[in-house]
Amino acid sequence: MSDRKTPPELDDAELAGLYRESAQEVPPAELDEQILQAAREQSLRVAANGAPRQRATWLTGRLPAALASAAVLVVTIAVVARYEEPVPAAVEAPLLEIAEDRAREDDSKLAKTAPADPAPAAAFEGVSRADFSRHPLTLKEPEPAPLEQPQLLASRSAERLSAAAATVSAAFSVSQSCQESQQGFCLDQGRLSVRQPSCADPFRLPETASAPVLSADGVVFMMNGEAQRFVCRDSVWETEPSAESPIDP
Amino acid sequence: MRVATLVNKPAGAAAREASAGTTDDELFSRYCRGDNAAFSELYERYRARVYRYFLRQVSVGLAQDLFQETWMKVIKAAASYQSRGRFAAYLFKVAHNILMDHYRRESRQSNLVVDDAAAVEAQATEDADPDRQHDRAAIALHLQREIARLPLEQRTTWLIRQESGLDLKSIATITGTSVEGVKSRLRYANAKLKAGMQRHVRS
Repeated sequence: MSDRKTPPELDDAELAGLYRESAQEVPPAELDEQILQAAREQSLRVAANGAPRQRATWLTGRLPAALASAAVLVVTIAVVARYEEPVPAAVEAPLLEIAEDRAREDDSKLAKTAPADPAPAAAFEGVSRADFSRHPLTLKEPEPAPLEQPQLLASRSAERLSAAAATVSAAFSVSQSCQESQQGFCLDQGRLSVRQPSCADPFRLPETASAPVLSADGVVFMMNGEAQRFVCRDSVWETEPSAESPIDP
Repeated sequence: MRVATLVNKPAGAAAREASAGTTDDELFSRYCRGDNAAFSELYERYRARVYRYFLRQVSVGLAQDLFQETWMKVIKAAASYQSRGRFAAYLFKVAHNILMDHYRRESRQSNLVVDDAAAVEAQATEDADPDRQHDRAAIALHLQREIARLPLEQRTTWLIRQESGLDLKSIATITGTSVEGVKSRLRYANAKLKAGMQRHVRS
């Protein structure tokens, strides 16, 4: 013991060395033989039955792969379902009104400059409801159509007015003949008109009028960017600026 | 039968593998494919270390039973063995679990019996100098007693560290604790063993 460090000076490594030096025990030979005999028998069984089958590499990762595939599928379905949602009716109606307004503005330009623009229906031809919801801020203006012959303008204008009447009919009762209408929109000589019992003749809306709305004694509509009001007073249709815009929300 | 040829070599498992040229995992994989010679070499590497792991914690007879149970379990598991790491960690995990199962069954933490006379005699045969051999045997006996006095967790952790040479992370996996927990146990165990050796010198 004299050639060793005294125990108080031992560090961890020296303690471990002291342990290894003192640890000399081994299992008895009989025990070794029993274990090695069991190992031999096991190896003979393996040799007789073949080596244990190793699991295929691709099977090792099949669970993560299945989970990843399921996640991708769910996300895809969610995205597709979102894009295919139908346009709510509350959104659809304003869009149609905008289309009509644009058509009427085009009419006013036509009357002044003769070049023709495509019809309202044509302006949005090929544009689906899904397109509106998908690209609400990127709706493109229709491409300018080639110039048309002046004689075609009248018939095109009538067609647009009929389309506008059809749109209005979705919100108001429009009779096909002003003789049948007591108070409401009617068609007079192919033009959208308003009839009041106190006025003998119906009031035919100007071609440049848009967004017509019935009031108690007349009609309010937009024309040249201003709200106009036509009322029947003393059997005569009179116009006056309207404080209320028909297109105010 | 080759016995104790590696007893005094460094405890690091990596050093053992490098010196032999073939890794433990390669040997066990070969045995799993029916190569019995590979198992003999593997057994030679670890037989004394696993045996001492049990011997420091239970009586000699029980240590032999648990030692045999450990290797039988490893042999049976060879048919379905999937290499997931180092064989040394796997082997000591099996040994540790068997020891813990034994403690649970017996509801006691240690039935260690240190046979003083046998231990001194065993150590004396290794050294020709009578004074020196007496000193070494006495130190070894005293160290074994101090190890046996350690709390269960500190004792198992310290012995796995000494006998397997595994890193702290592997020991943490074997003992079911954290790396910090292993460090703490080793620190306390070393401190207690040093204090015990100091008392031995004073007495």
